Amino acid sequence: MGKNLRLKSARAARDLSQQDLADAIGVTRQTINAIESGNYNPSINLCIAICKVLGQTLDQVFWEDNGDA
Amino acid sequence: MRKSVLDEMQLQMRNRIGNQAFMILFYLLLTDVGLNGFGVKWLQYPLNVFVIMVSTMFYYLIRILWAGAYIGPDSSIKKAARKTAATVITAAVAASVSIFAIWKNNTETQVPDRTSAMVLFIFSAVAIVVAVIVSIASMKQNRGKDQ
Repeated sequence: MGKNLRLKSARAARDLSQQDLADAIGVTRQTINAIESGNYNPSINLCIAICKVLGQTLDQVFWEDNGDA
Repeated sequence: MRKSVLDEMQLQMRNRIGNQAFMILFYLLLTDVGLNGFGVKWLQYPLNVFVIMVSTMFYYLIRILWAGAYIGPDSSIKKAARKTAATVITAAVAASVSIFAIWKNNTETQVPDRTSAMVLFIFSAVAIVVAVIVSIASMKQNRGKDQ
C-alpha cells in the first residue's frame, strides 16, 4: 500500500495539521500519520469522516488508480 | 466518533498485541510444565508462574505503549495522573499488608508462610514501577510533530 498523497495535499490545502484533522475526527495524530504513510487501511466510517472534514468525496481522497492513492 | 475510547487503529493494535501476549504466556507456561516434567526447577512453584505472568504483562504493556495504543485521543494528562495515583495507592496498601504479614509471621513461633506475602510485596513493587513508567509514557504519547 503506497502513501496517500491526496489526503496529505487535501489536508494541506485546508491548512490543517495532522493534529487538527485528528482532533476534528476524534482519532489520534498517529492514526492520520499512518493513513498518509500507507501503513494503515482505515475503515469506511473513518474515510467518510475524513472526507467530510476535508470537504472532498471518497473518490477524490481514497480512490486508487495506477497503484497510488 | 467517540474520543474517550481508543480509535480504530489503536484497538486493532491492542488486539493484535494482546493475542501475541496471550500466546507467549501460553507457550511459556507450557514450557515451564515441560521443564518440570524433565525435573528442571528454575523457581519454586508459585514464583515461577508469577514471574512468567509478570514478564508477559510487562511485554504487553511495553508493546502497547510503543504502539501508542495505551490512551485514547481525548485522554488528558489529568486522567492519566488520576489513574496512576489510584494504582500507586492500591500498590501501597498491598505493600503495607504484605509487610505486616511478613512481620507477623516473623514474630510468631509457628512455621512462617512467607511466600504469599513476598509475592504480594513483589507484585505491589512492580505495580508502582509500571504505574510510573505508564504515566511518563502516556504524557509523551501525543507530543510528536507532523510528518
